[in-house]
Amino acid sequence: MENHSPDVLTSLLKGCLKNDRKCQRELYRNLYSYGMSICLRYADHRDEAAETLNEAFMKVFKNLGKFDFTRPFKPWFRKILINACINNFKKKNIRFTEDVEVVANNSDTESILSKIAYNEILEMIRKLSPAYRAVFNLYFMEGYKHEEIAEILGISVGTSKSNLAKARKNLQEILKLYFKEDYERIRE
Amino acid sequence: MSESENNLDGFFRRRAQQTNVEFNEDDWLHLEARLNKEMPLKPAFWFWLRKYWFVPVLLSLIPALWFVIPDTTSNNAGIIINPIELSPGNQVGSQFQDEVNSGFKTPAASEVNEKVGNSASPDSDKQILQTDLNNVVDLNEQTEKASVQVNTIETKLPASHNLSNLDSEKVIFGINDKGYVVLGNGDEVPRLSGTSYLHFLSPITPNIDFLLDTPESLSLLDIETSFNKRFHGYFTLGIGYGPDFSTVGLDNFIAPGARWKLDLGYALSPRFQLMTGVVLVNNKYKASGDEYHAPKGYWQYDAGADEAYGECKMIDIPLNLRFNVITVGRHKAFVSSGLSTYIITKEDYYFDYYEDYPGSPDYWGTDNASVYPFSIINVSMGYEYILKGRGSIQVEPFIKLPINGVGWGNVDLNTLGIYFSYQYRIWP
Repeated sequence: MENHSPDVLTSLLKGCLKNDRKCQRELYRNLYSYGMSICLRYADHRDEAAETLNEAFMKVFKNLGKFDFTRPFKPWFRKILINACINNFKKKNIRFTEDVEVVANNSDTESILSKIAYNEILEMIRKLSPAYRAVFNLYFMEGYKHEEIAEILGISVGTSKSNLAKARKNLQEILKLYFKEDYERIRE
Repeated sequence: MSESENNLDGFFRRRAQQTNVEFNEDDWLHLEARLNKEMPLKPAFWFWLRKYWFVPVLLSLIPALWFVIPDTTSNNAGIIINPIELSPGNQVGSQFQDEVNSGFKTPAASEVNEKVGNSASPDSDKQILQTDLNNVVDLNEQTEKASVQVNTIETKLPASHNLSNLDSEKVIFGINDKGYVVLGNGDEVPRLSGTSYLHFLSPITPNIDFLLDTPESLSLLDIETSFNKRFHGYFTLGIGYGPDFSTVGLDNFIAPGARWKLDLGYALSPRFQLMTGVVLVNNKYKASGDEYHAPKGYWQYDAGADEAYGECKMIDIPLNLRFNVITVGRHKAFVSSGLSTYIITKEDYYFDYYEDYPGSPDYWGTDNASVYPFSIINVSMGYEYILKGRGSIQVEPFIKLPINGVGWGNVDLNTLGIYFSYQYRIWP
């Protein structure tokens, strides 16, 4: 999001409240990068992320009258975004696995991680299955607890933990494939 | 959680949030197309004018009608010629039959006009009862003669006649807007069953308006005059019922509610009437999420419900001004407008979500009353039929438009409906 003063943001939001297209476009443009970064983590591909982002913006524009202007806007927007991502995820009827597996520890990853670009990170997260990806994002990116994730996704706490562990393991496997050579060298 | 796991997780968290996704104009265009469809741009003035065009039309119609439509109500009635069927054997009735009929059938306006100012002798009952249009016009000029005439008429009426207690001070001068014969002192008596009235507008001019129902039934010409044109206000009491179609946005009707009303009216003039009362309302309506404004902080996810279904019980206290546009015989057409105060006594709301919001409420309700003074505009038009006696029945389509939001959801509640009611003149 571009650095706008609270007054400018409030002015933009009030314009959106009046269904002013210019203000809506300006707000969309300013929040686009931030919103897409969240949606891309949950979506299978870019178009799906853009669709989810637009869904969230429609929600914002339609419900802006309910927003308390004395509170910061960004957390409210983030909540709506994540909710849109979760709803989009639920529409896919993803099945969660319930068995809990012990994930092996991998210790020598950090040195190679700094070489990974943002797009590659996204690619790795996208390589996770939708169920693992959802739990991974909610747990690590959004900071939800397993109990909250279980309620949001309608699964058990055990399933949430299991999926997170598998997501983590899969990411490590994905990392290995991306940087096999470096990884093996470090391991040796 | 091991250190390596923390490293991996922390790395992903940090790097995934270091974003710089380039703006894509196509994504905005997709959103804009959706906005144009779901939230179309509305030029404020034209939008409201398109939505409520009939309100300024109706409101401007009321004063316009005052000038355009002639007043046919009773206070302008200078003379009523009242043919009354007398009991068999009444010699007076047959005595004037031919004269009356011929007088009614050929009253050319110019002929009547020529007779204005011609004096007839009111000295005897016989002469007055034998009067023709010439006498009528003449009597219209002198109160004293009129009183004499009324006394005379009284003596000729059948014993069962409602005017039997008529005294010299009670001069019949017209038929009011409820269809009653109004006396000079403001009292009123019902019109006689089976009679017809020839109604002259006053002052008598070549533009005499003849409203004769059935000239063939005439058996006696009863001439009544008036020189008192003062209007006496009166009160009416009414009961009514009607279906209630409430909605937010004029296009989301779900199921009709009901309205039961008890109203009180006061006639300020023959054409204007002040109306108030109590209307018990049970209504059902639907509001989309952006039209339903629950108190801030209520929604768990702030975005709120996508649809709200309301079922409310309320008391509507209207204060309206009614204008009788047309009054012809027993028929009246009227328009009415004013403001309403809503007292909402019970509210039940059911919420729907297009998408799942874990833990979001699906119901809210209260039995605590809340008051919304003068928050609704009332506009109606109707038809009234005046019954024999003091009653009348009327049908009145109405629309209620919001000035302020009402209810816990602070919704702009529109209501359409139609009242079927019975009105009774209670006093005087």
